[in-house]
Amino acid sequence: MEKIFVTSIGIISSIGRNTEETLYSLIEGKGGQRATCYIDSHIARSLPLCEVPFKNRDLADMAGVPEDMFMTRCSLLAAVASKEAVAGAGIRLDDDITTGIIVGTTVGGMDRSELFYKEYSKDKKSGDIKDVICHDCGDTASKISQLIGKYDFVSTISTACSSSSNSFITGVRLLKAGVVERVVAGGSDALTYFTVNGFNSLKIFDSNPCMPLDAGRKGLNLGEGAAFAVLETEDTIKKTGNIPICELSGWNNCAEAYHQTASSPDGDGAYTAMTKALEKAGLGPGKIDYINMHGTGTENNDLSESVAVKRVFGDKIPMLSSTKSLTGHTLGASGGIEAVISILALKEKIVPGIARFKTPIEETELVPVVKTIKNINIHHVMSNSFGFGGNNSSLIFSRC
Amino acid sequence: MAVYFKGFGGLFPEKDHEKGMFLCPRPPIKEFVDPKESRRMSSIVRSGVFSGMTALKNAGVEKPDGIITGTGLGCLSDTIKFINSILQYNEENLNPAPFIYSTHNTVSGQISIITGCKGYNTTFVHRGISFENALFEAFLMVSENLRLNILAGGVDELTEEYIDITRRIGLYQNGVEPGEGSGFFVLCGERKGAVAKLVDIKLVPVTDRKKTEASLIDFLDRNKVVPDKTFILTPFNGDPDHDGWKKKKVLSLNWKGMLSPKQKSGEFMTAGALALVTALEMITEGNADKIFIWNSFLNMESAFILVEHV
Repeated sequence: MEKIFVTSIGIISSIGRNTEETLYSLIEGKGGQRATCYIDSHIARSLPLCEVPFKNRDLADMAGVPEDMFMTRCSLLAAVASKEAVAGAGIRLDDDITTGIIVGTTVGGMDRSELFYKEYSKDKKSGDIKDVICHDCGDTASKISQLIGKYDFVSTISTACSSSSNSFITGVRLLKAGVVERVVAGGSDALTYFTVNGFNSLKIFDSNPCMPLDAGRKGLNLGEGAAFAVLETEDTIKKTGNIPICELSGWNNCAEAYHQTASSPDGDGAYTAMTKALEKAGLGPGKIDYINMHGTGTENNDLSESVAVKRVFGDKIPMLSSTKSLTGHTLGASGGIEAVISILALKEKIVPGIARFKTPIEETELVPVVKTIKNINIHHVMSNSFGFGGNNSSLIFSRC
Repeated sequence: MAVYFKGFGGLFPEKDHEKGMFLCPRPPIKEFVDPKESRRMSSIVRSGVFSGMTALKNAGVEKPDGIITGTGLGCLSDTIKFINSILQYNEENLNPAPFIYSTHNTVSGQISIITGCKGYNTTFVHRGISFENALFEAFLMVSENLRLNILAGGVDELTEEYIDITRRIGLYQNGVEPGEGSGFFVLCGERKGAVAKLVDIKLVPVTDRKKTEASLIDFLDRNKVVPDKTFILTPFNGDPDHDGWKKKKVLSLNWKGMLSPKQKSGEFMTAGALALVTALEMITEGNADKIFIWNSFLNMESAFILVEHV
């Protein structure tokens, strides 16, 4: 079976504007929680949010977006992260390698359309039309493909919080079927008035920096960001000459078919996603060195996921942590951000620690890695992402 | 190795002459979902569930191996309901239900819950080719594993706000009438009992006219399509600005017959799903053997589908 390699990564979140800054924050255990300044919402102002500390104009400059190109914040974050990934893989406008671009996102251009809608709701004739034309989720992938100059396959996936993990899975399918030779897969989401209020209405925010996987967890912190990885086949690597960072060795997406938002108490969906990803990779559970957990910090997810981890791994629980304790929950970007962090862990030989951990969850007693471990030989890393609609995805990255 | 349709289901809108648009009737879903459960469902979810479950019923498949949905704008009415409530109640004490059901993968998720399908589940949201993305991935999955039954479809809904805002943008002009609806399909690798064969599908994620024309020629060539033995379902929506060059291209070939499905469905991002329902109806009723579908939303991306009788 043909192998799928990761040859480059790019990332932006509240803990760093590129791979280098992200690595530094992971090693230092530096979280991105701060008082927000870009969303006009009194709920947002009362919460710690993991905002990317740059104005849209600064993001546009970082990404080298032409001045006449209208971009939502979601697209700007994606542009910054994809630019780093594209540069690292040496993707050029004039190379003849067919390239797919797949973006995962939950609300796409909502960051601008909600500005329009606030005005529109007061007076149907007001609101700046320009703010609403990029509302649809597909806008970001289209803009990224224009910036990269590749149009062989452009698509967008929206499966709530597992969106960008699923962009990797569809990417693998395209590569295996020979639809394209190379895929830029990942995702992006910006903080919005809409999602801040959505999660607030669900009462699953922690009013302090979050404590995933902790018995005392009170909920999540919302974040924003984007991350992409470049995937190539063995044949493509022969053409590009890229040296793989690691292999994408296992993947699975499945439905839990249980509830629109809640995870089942025995973690069935998570169990299936992890088990089938292991099967795909041809690995026994004992081979996984580190799990980057979905670990949102909510009562329901963390218990259900921990139960599923115990079911899959038994007595031999791998090292694990939730980097959402640092980046917050970046929704449609989280699968991509955590996949990139998992790849970075393999590349830089680290196991990222979790912030603020004190007490294990009583029912499962899982103890995460608290302080980032450096210079450690790890071979296989699993990254979990679960979303509304009972959507569960696991990816496995392996040293090659 | 070939991919077949085992069954399909669709919900067509009806033309509202006064409003100048195509709106769906409320579909009967009592047969599939307990009324207690369906009470909360928005029109897009009802529509998708109706077409999806009808497709499965017609295919004689209780539980598919995977569910893939395409939607251009997703659950618009719940999205708008929720943002209206944020504004109305100044961010306080909001009912979370519209937010919960506003995610784009609600239709795929609900069908998985109704059928108990714990397999692959994803949702494509890429503008005018969202549905064709879903169908394409289902096509790849079945090509990889011929034993699978994959449910794939497309769905979108209209809301008053969408109509009003797109009118201000000028999205639907020169007589283009907006529409809504859904179409779902069960794909399999088994010829026996199939209603039609999915010969090929190609996504063209560009708006550039020359590149689209080149892709069209390539698609017809690689499938050895003989126009005078093939029906064409056109992407025409009635706007000469959108249709002009496409019409010229279509009319440059001598097709066996030509139909423009958007005359019956109106224009929307997943109208391609209803074009495919129309094609499969023509084939199963014995009115056509081979049908080429060119779909394109407004003047945006294109997709090509080729189907033939079994």
